[in-house]
Amino acid sequence: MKVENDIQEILKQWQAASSLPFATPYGLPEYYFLNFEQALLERVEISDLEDTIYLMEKHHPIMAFHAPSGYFDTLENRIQQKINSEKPGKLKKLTWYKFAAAAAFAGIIAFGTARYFHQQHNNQPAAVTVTPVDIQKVNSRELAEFAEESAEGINNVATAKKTLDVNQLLDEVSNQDLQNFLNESSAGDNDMF
Amino acid sequence: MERPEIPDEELLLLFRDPDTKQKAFSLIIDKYKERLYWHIRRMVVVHEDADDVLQNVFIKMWKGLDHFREESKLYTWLYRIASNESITHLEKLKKTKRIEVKNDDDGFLMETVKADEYFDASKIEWKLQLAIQSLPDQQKLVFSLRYYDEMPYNDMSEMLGVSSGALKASYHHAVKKIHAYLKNELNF
Repeated sequence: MKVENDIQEILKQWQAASSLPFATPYGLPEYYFLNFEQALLERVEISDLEDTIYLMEKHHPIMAFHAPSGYFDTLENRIQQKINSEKPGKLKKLTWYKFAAAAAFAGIIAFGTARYFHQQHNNQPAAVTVTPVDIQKVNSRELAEFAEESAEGINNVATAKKTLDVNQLLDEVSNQDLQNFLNESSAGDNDMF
Repeated sequence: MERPEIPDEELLLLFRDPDTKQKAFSLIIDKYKERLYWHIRRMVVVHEDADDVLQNVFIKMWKGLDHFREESKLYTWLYRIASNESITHLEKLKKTKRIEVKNDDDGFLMETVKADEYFDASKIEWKLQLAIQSLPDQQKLVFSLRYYDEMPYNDMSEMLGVSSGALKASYHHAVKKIHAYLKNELNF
């Protein structure tokens, strides 16, 4: 205690002798001490999270779910069977739908064009680019191919890139949380985890 | 005996050759069936649903791989199909459930987890599954890809069409929610 008092006394004397200011010259971020506790708690929370992940990985890497025994051994055969059985069945089914779709499509176009042609005829007898006669030139096969292409387009949807909605990605995340996260990640590593 | 793992580039070449297409298909199934199954299973929970979705993924691959333009890696392409199919499956399921049980489309997956024949409420791996199922689907997807499949954010970004920053934020908040859930359950 005496030593400490002595040191403080010496420091005071130095300060008085040299007129040195007590304040340190180093700058401090604004509101550093005001926000210190909050920032510290956030760090503790992140550290806790990392501990949680570590514990989960170290002690419980096993999956809770089970697959039935032998499931993976038979999977390929079942997929192959499905593909093989799909071909003729689907073709038959598609053919029926194709022609139904083609007929409906032709009907709608013919009706629409005839109506348009009729209206044009009544109002202004201008040239019409598509007539029922043109529609008749489109044979069933072409219409069926059109229907098949549309069906293939629908099938390909799952293989296309499906962009996630960022709003859903950050569902239930408050603006404050997001701001904290951005502050943390910009101040720290590029890859937090 | 296990087959040696062939690089994806080689598998694609084999698939494009009509003489080896069938063999390549088998090899791709063999290489990816388990990891895709577990990815799907963690999303949809029920084995029968996961099986159905997984088969659809490989059937879509069979039909679509000829048109695969290699703008992405084969594995991210397959994960993309698996993720899209899983999310679509869950959306369909939720629509059905919404009709059956009004206002209960969020908790039904947790209930499905509890209905699993191996479910043990005292084990942390099951608590973790319950915590995961409490997340919105897309956060669950990001968490699963990162935590279980250890997919790099860049690959995830390419696969899902979302920036790495948004994915990191999503993962971070998913972990926070899981932590809060587990903390409450385990009192740590």
